[in-house]
Amino acid sequence: MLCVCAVVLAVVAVLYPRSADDVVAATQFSIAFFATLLTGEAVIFALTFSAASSWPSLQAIDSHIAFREWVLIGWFAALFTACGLLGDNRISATYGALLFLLANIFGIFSFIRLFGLASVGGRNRLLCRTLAESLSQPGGRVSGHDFENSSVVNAYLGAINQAVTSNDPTAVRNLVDQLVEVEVGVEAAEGAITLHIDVLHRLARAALVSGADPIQATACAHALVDSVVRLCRNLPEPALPLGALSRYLAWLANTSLLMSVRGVASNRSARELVALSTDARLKILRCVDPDPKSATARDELGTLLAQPHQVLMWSSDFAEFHGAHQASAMYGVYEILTGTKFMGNYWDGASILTQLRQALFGADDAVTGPAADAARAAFGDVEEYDHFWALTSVTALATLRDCRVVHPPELVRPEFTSDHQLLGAYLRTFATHRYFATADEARTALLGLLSRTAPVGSASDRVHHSRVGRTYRVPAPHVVPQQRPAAMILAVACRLAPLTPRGDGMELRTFLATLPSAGLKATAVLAARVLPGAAEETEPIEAVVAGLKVLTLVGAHTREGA
Amino acid sequence: MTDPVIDTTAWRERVAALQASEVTAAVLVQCDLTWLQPGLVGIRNEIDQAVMNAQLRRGADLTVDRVILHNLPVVAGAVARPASVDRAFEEWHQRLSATSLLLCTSDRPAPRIHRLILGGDQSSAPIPDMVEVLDNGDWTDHQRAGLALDIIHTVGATTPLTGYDMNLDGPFGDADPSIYM
Repeated sequence: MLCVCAVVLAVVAVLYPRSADDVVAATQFSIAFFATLLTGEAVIFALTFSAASSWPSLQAIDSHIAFREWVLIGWFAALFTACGLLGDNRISATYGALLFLLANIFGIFSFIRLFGLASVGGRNRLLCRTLAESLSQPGGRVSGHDFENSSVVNAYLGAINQAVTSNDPTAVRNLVDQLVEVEVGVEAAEGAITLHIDVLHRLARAALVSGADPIQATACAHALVDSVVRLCRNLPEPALPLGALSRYLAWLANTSLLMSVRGVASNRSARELVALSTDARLKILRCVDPDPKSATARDELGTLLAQPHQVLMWSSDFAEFHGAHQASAMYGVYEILTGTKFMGNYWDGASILTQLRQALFGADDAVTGPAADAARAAFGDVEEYDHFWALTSVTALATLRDCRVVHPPELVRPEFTSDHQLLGAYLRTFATHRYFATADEARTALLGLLSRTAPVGSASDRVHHSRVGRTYRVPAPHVVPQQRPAAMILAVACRLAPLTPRGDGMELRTFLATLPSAGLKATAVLAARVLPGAAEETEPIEAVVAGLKVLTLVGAHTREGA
Repeated sequence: MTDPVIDTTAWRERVAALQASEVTAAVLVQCDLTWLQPGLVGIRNEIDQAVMNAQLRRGADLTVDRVILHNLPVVAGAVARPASVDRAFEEWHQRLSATSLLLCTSDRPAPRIHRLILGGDQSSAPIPDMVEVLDNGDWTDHQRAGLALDIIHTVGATTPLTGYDMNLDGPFGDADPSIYM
């Protein structure tokens, strides 16, 4: 367009050359206006732009307001005018004067565009667009979950760091708004989610360690979580990023607790982050559960995860790091996998995994229908079903909170407490999945867990092994179950432990007695860490048995009433 | 020296024979890289579990010697080898160690697992894969079993898989997740 105008003006200059006096007179006015515009733009820049609002470099702003093109026309205009006047060439001088007019017209356009950026909303829109373009480019897309190749994304993260370090809540909010409003295609959504989780972690770390305002940080974090959920809706396989976010939130709550107890983080920051963790996980749960207890927004209706593999992946992640609402999440899992609703109550001792096993692989009472058929196909056979959930329980058990750490009252939230009954209910979700009954069978089950490499494509392989490395920049790494031998033993032991106070636990003791001392001691150490009452026992077998008594607390209220 | 085609039926039969009281010893060699292919995971699992089950049930009445590779060959072809093969190799070693360490005690000895050391110029093991059992005092194939036993008893040819350095507790981050901060 600009070139066309320049050519047209050149033709006009050739056809209608003006005298030197006319050219000088016209140019004086044009230059005055040109200088005015230039000064005006400089003033706007100086008054409205800060480091945080121009993070991708001036280049993005320049291409938006076409500043370079404008100045370039002015330069050409001055050149033609001066050469024309000096060389007494009327055509050149006339062309220069006409180019000045063009520069002024273009300058007004640039000035108006710049005014659009003078407001926060305008700048945010531009930067949001720039970020989206960068994420959508092949170089900016997630590659090994790294953004090393994207200068724009790195500049954005640098701006976030700077805003967080300088404790500038407005700048942080603006930067987060730019990210959460990003509109990207499916191919770039994973990269965008990775960036969301990275920013979320930077904000959480700042609140815990650097003294950033936790209220502001958690407000931004909620926006980021909502945005991740929104982006997940477009993905064909949303379970991985949604699971990564769920894991991260559970890890964050535990870390906040530990850092608060150790005096590293303020209890106020820890409290806000714990609240964020439990609330955001509930939000995710509502978006996954096809029939949640309540729904507060339209996006919580229906489910994000309709495929069996997807819900298995997510549920495995959701149970890690002692995550809040993990037992109630199994209701949604049951419904997605069977197409029917689970009508029991885990607080009353009902076993979702046992009923799910019956519903999928029961001899007479197996559920029929497309959902159940798909779930059966995902597992293949009942052995894989048992193996899968045993491995899930290994990860869940290994990452339970240290029960010896005093849980400060200010950090108590619904589903984030030191309540032994709640721990018992979480543990019982897995412990009631009893696919063996005797010590001998338990040893065979342990052998299976220890020695069986998951066949490629099996549910265990997909969920527990094949996705190692897809981190979404969650700082806590995925650890394959076989690297947690003590937790494997405890996962088997809990399936033999008595579920009522009247149980004798003979099979459990027999099983533990067959184990070599090294494994038994490691299991007792784990039990002392995660199970209340185990640390007081000195004998390893007694420690595990005492710790697993937490299972008998579930349903105590109804037993007393009976 | 290796036979890449694995007769799964023969392996199943021989390994099942370990339960019989007439069988007092067995030698299993699984040094071919084929064992690390995804398609053979099933039979590999079966063999590992059957051997360990027999050992746990029969205790000192059964002596099992297993030979696996200590290291993967680095001569021609190593670069083109998929990374999944190396991962499968590591995982297999780790699982064999963990199984022995967590299930076997002094009165229930673990299968003796010997890791055959490949030299830098060797592309495969110098002995063929095999499962030979000592049935009523006779090896099912005396010559082949002898090959394996010779190499097991050659000082410096193999090194035992002990699992002494296995971390039974799991990663430190499990106990203290804040280290990931």
